[in-house]
Amino acid sequence: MRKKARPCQIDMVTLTVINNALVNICREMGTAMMRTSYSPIFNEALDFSCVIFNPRGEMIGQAEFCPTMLGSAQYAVKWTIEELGLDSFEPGDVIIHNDPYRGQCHMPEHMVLKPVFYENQLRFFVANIAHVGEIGGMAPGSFAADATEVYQEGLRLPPIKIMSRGEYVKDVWKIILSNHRTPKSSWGDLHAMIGSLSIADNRLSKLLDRYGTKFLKAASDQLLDYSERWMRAEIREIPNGAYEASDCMEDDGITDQPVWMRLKLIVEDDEIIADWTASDPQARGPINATYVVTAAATYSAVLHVTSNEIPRNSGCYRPIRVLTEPGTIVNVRHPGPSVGGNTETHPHIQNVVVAALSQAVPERAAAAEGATACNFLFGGTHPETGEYYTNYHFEGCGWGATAAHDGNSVMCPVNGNCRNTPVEVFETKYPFLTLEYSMRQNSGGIGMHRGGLGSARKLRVLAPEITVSALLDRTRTHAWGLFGGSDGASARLLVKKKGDVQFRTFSEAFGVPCATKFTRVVLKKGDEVIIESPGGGGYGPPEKRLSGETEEDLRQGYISLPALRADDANKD
Amino acid sequence: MQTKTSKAKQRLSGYWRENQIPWHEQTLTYCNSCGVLIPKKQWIVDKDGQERVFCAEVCAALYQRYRRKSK
Repeated sequence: MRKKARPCQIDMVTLTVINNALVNICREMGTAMMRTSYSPIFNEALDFSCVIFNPRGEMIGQAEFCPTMLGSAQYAVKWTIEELGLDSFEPGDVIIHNDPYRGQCHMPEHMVLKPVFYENQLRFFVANIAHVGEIGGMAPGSFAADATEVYQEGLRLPPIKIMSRGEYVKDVWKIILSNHRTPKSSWGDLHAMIGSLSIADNRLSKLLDRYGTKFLKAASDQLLDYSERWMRAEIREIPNGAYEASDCMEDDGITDQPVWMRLKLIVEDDEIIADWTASDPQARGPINATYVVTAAATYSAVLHVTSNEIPRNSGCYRPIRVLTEPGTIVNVRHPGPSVGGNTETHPHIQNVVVAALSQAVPERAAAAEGATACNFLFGGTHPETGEYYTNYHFEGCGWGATAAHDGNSVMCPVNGNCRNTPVEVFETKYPFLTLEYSMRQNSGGIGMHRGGLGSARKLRVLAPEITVSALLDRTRTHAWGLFGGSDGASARLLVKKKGDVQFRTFSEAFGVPCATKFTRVVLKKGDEVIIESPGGGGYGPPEKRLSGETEEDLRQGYISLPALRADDANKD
Repeated sequence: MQTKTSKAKQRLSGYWRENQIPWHEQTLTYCNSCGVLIPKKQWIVDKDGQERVFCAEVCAALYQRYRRKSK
């Protein structure tokens, strides 16, 4: 615990009010972002996070956004403050930053950061981290599943000003917009992000009007310490010990070899040490996680098994230590690619931490989730508008069951907390026809509590050509069950060329080296694609499931009678 | 198991240093304990004639009490 002089001790009621004010400012930023952005990834999928920091680079406010961004934001903000220096910030400045080798999680995640001045002094930073859907690079949608260097993944921006004292830094804007394939979307989305910062700036100034600078600073410091104390108390409830678990990415898009992440998780009184140093060397393909991704995934997992009442700020991360070896799957070294590390490897890492903790606190743990967003990227010239478009499409998957509940069905993997894009919006924006969008029957692992179901989507190409890329995992592995629950079904990605009778893998149809991680395959009008996301693992022995719940599963079509009979036969 | 107090006492003596790499250089420095990239301020520990670079004092302490033994 840090020792420092405190100007005043603030009562819990007032602290709670201030914490809620900070959370609500972040929520309001999010609402502004959702309502003013151009791209469905923001206004439908909500793939962004809004946060408040103190000038020391500690996060003091966040809301219900993307865990991967929330965990990693503190590294990106800290880096920005240190690299630029506190003296360099002026009122009206906005900094942009997406560099995974400067504390960011992967290239598409762009942070815009604004200093908040009050009475001529820097009091806070506000930031919005968002997955910009197109940032150039070797593949439309900037999700190059066969990239072997960060330079192929798009335009890399160290922390630099895009607004200076409220004025555009036009040279920087020109560089950005000339490197993105869809500059109009980038223009609109970046302005939505910057607009959300202005809202927070305004709200924080009003909060300072109400409470004064010294009081609010003291309150935010006390909130950090309070969260730390609460998290330490929660960790003390977990039995001391060393717990091991591992999982693999089934391949990296370049070589057909699994890449393992291995964890030794040590619970020592009121601290957790997550030691990932035995993990495999980094992959050639883009499934590598940066350090901050691994840290964010570890934090997220611990938050999943501790009280959801702990105020979410940097304080609750202090007792969690994350150890990695540079040059491994969990801490990529330059110039390794990492776009899939944040999206695909993150949920695997999170699942591994929960698996390790399940040995200590089985009643709080969940079985594994699908852990793939089934990333499907596409772009081309829209036949109706003549304009170039791209889209980053992702799917929900089945979540793992817990001691108390069935797993959620068709939920964004645990790192994202995003929504799906409604079919109506999808078809209005892009030249695909959705032939099917449903929950996958029998995809959840059975058990006392059933794993959540994955989804099935069938698309038909309506444009003369669409260039597609994909990055999926868990197509040959499974979300594991816990304590007698069975595994969830694997993901699938299939294609049928117009005139073909059967669906095949992309390797069979187009000769790509990896059937589920590839870039720039050109589909023609009438071709069809099936994306099936994985189901979650079950929890506990199936014979303990209440018969009424099984009947309801049958009635809803979550499971089929033949599958149920096959399971019964296996038990016999 | 160690107590919180004894953990704190295990901090290695060291000093803060700002890396002096010119702005145009793209050199990266990793923490010897946790592996995180260090932006600018480094906690330096000189021990047994060897300089070790950490992101923070607490990380140096963790290196001393855990990482060094596990290597």
